[in-house]
Amino acid sequence: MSQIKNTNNKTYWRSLSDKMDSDDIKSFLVNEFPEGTSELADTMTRKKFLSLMGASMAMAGLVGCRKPVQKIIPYVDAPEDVIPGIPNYFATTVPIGLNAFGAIVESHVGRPTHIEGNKNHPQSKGSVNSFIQASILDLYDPDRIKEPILENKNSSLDKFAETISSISESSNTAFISKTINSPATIGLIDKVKQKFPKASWTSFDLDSKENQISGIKNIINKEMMPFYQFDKAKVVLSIESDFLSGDQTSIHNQKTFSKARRVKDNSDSMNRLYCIESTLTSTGMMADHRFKINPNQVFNFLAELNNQLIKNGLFNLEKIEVTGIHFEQKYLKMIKVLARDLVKNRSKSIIAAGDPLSSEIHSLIFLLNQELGNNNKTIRYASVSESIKPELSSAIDLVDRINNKKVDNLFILDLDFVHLFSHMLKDSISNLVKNIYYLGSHRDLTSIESKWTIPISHYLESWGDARSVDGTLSIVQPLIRPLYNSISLNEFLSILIKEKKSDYTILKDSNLWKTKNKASFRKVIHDGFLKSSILSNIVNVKKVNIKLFKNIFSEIKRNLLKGKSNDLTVRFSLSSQVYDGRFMNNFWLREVPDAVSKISWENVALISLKTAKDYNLSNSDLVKLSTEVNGKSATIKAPIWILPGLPNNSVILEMGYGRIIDREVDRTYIDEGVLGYNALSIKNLDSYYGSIELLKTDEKHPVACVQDHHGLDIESLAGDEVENRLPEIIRESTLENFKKDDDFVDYHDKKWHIPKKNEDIPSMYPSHDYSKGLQWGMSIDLNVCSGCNACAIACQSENNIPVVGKQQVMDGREMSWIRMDRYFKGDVENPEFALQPVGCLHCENAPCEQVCPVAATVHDENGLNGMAYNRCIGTRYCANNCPYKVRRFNYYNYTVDTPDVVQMAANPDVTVRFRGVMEKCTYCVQRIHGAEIKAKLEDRELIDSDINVACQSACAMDAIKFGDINNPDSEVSKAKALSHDYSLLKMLNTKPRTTYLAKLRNPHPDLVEHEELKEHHQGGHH
Amino acid sequence: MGALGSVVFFFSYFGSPKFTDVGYRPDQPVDYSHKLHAGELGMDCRYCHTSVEASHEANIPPTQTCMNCHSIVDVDADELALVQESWKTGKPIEWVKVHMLPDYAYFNHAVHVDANVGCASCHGRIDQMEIVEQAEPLSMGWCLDCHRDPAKHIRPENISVTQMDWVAPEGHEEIMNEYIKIHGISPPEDCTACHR
Repeated sequence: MSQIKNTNNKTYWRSLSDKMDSDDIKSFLVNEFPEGTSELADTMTRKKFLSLMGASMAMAGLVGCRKPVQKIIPYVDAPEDVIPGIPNYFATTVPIGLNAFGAIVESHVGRPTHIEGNKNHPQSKGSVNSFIQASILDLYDPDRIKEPILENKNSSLDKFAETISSISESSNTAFISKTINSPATIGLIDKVKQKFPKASWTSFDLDSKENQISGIKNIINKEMMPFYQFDKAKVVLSIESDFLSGDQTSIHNQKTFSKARRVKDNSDSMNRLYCIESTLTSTGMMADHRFKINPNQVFNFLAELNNQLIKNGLFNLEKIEVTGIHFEQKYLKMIKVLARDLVKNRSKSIIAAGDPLSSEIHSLIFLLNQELGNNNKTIRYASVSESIKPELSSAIDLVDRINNKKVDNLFILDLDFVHLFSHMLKDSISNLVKNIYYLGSHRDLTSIESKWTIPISHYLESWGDARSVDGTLSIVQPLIRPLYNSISLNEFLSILIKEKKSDYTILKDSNLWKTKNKASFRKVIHDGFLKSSILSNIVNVKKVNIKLFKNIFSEIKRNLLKGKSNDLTVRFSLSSQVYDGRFMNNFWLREVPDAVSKISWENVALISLKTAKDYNLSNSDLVKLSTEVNGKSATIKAPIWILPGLPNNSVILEMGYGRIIDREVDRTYIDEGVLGYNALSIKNLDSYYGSIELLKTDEKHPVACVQDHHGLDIESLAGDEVENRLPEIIRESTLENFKKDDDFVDYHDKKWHIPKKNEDIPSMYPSHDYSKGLQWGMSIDLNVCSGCNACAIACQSENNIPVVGKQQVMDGREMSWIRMDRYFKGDVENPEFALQPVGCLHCENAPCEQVCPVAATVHDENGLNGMAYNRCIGTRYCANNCPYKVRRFNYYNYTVDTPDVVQMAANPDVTVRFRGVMEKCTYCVQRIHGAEIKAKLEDRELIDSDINVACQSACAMDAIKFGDINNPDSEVSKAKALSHDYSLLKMLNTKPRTTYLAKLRNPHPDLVEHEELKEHHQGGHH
Repeated sequence: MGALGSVVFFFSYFGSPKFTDVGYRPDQPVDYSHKLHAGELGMDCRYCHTSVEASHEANIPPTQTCMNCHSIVDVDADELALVQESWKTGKPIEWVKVHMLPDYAYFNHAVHVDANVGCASCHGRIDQMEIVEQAEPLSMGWCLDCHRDPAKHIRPENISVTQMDWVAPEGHEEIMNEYIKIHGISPPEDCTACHR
């Protein structure tokens, strides 16, 4: 028994304030809603409230007698395929960066409402990430530009076309765009280049992959990107790579990674993930061995690894002499073991390097992978030569020319130039460039400085095509006509070359598609992609002779850190919420807490606890960060947030935020001033790293962090009890221990003397018979959950969950039905992580139901814990009595001023909840009944595979299984039958329908030996 | 006590949908007569309300459906002026909703038609209405009355749901109770069935 317990004997903690026993968290744990949350805003006294209510009741009495008239507006000429009330589904494509994802979009009478992955598309495989899922809200963004704007006044496209035609071909013209992977657009660009032979064309993206591509190009002279096959790898090393959520191929990565990670029984194997990073990422939180590293130590790490690989037999590699020791003994040992593990798993391992790293590192990684036999096996290479890729040098050149007033006409195609480059410009851009033509979506800084702003159509409004990284050619199909007077990029380019074609004609006439006959083109549109093009970009790379690349090893050596550096370093990262800034006005993404920092609405400056102590900082302190950029000193102000697990002497800044957008529509609960800071103002374009100066100010900037909200920990537990309780909530073991003892999850239940079977637990309540019919249940595999938030956004989109704004989040009133709990384990400096998505668990013996005075929450025959919103009177007894803290209360009427156009994103099958109503996960009851009725109409039995709940289909890790628990062959029953399935807080006898599969870690035995011994020694005391 | 009793009665009767909603007969933009079309001409309900068998919604027909006949019949009638105009201009006719359920109640036409519940059970004798009015309270209690004891309103397989003048013969309930058992018709009584 002691051995089982030992797997969990490192202590768990929820957050630093928990670990430090601060008062903040106590207020969150004792009251579900912390101090003041339950009261209305302080300006409203009880007396004032009553008098107001009295007055409004009197008036309500006067107007309440007349029945409101509702209109039904049918079609005049009904389209053939639309049956009112039944959604249609169309395939389209979401292009992001170099990749493109197949999507299936749900449309209600012509109104797209929800996005899911296209099962057959190789880059989405039926799932989505949070960006794709939330992109539908961008379509209905009320702040989009609606008309072409000429110098602050509305104008027309015709007038724009006229202006354009007068640009002389010999003028100094420049174009700047994002990454372009659409063959049709590239065809048009070629024509534009012919039309303006002297013009320059620049492409820029923060998430560029340029280093990676050029690193590989330096070796094999081809533009390639690695395309990982994680399902074939037993050992994975990630160096600064967030392949599970930050990468452009993240869905493919998650799908393949989870295959090798999932464990069914004790005969199963599981991959091992090592992670080296200077920040904290979702991938890092998943790692079996995570080592934080200072940005300037990466070269040293690689040199040590390289040398160890040589010791283990990869003799082709060149030794890199390292002088002085930069790593602790522990790190060096890890590198030794890692090298051994990689070589042992030759051709079954992967070294993945992140884009922040310089190109010579990517070259070295290619060579290491070659020597490990991984190339063409676990890592395939995709040619990206056909896309227009970002090139930093040309962007810098463009900025130079702008600064020297050498550009007369600047075409900015769908990127916020001023947000990205303001710190590089000598003057405001309108003083440097005469004519700026901006194709953009918002009235942002670039738009304000531009002579012309042309509104761009959303991808759901335009025709187009896109090539995925693997080569799959996909069709971007519009779901709706442009809501405003906007045009797509293709139409814009077509105006430039005086063709003025519609985007459909452009697509149809493009070189790639014009040879297709009508039937096969229709088929491609129907499928969303061209089947024969799948994996067409994948090429086998030849083995190179390492002796020819000695310079790479010497380059690494040249960059080695010599001596100890005490400089404060900075590491920039892309935002998991606003990405590179393009989702700045997407409130779903803004509000969902960042996967790592758990902060919503803003970005912060993340530092480690030790750094905070060194600089005498605490959370929310506003600091000045300055550095030299482009020869000038630049400063930003940012709030500090302490995050365990970060390297010391380092600040992590998230890019993308701080983008200023002129908001046309005011929303009561969304504060326009909450923008975050623009980290780009202190970033040198060529590097994700740098040195920085930090100066504390006296100001504080409150931050909305949800880490401590809705704690599962049982209130008022004395001292160590919380520590004892957390291992029950997150149950985990190592693969090695699991193989010896696959019943380990039962240990905690045994401690409480709880029988294994639910039926055997004695109860005061008579139990209901759920043995017949379909009984819904869910299983969530904690082993593969990466905390990417896709499920939370999917749930928000499917269930009309309101956005509440920063202040409300700070008060603990966020409405998200899925809460992504994150726990830390062990040492504050080097914690391990555990993630646990928690929604309503649909307890058979639901504590919420027993306290509802109006029976607004009751069970149905299929085991769903239902919510009848119309019955709820808002006592909040249910939330108080819910041990899992999954119920959300509408403190205000959050949807009171949702603009009409945003309402179009709502799911018509789900009620929009009003103020004073409790809500929570319903297991997507609308989908269940929809499928049930469909089965009835088709005269067949409902089977559980008819239903995919929103979170389940979004999850690229396939961590969520949903279905009938009475059917032993259903996916969910199979998952629940596994030995490591457990119920949350089982001792309360709530019999939850959602159960969890325990988390397993797969540390290398040589790296746990030491710990195990120590544990064994202590074991006797328990 | 008597006074209290009458107050309770007052609110429970005059406040109930039986009193407030039944008989609701708003004016429609077009003087369309169900009595003429469904009654005298004997047109099937589903000629216009096409989606009733497939969707939760029994659609209001597009102008095009009217024009199937009225491009030939009674083209110049005054009553049809708006319909003709709608067809010419492409501007839809704004009908006034008669049967209004609250937004939090999700009723499904298709599944009721599938179970062979007659249109008249909920909508009354539409074929006799010059202007459509609400015939039943459509309150939750009223829904549940039938869900708890559906035999009265489920028709035998050979009787169409749209046959408006059908009256249940003697002994119908006993036969249908048997039928319900055999076919496993079990109208849900759970909250989640209609409230999401």
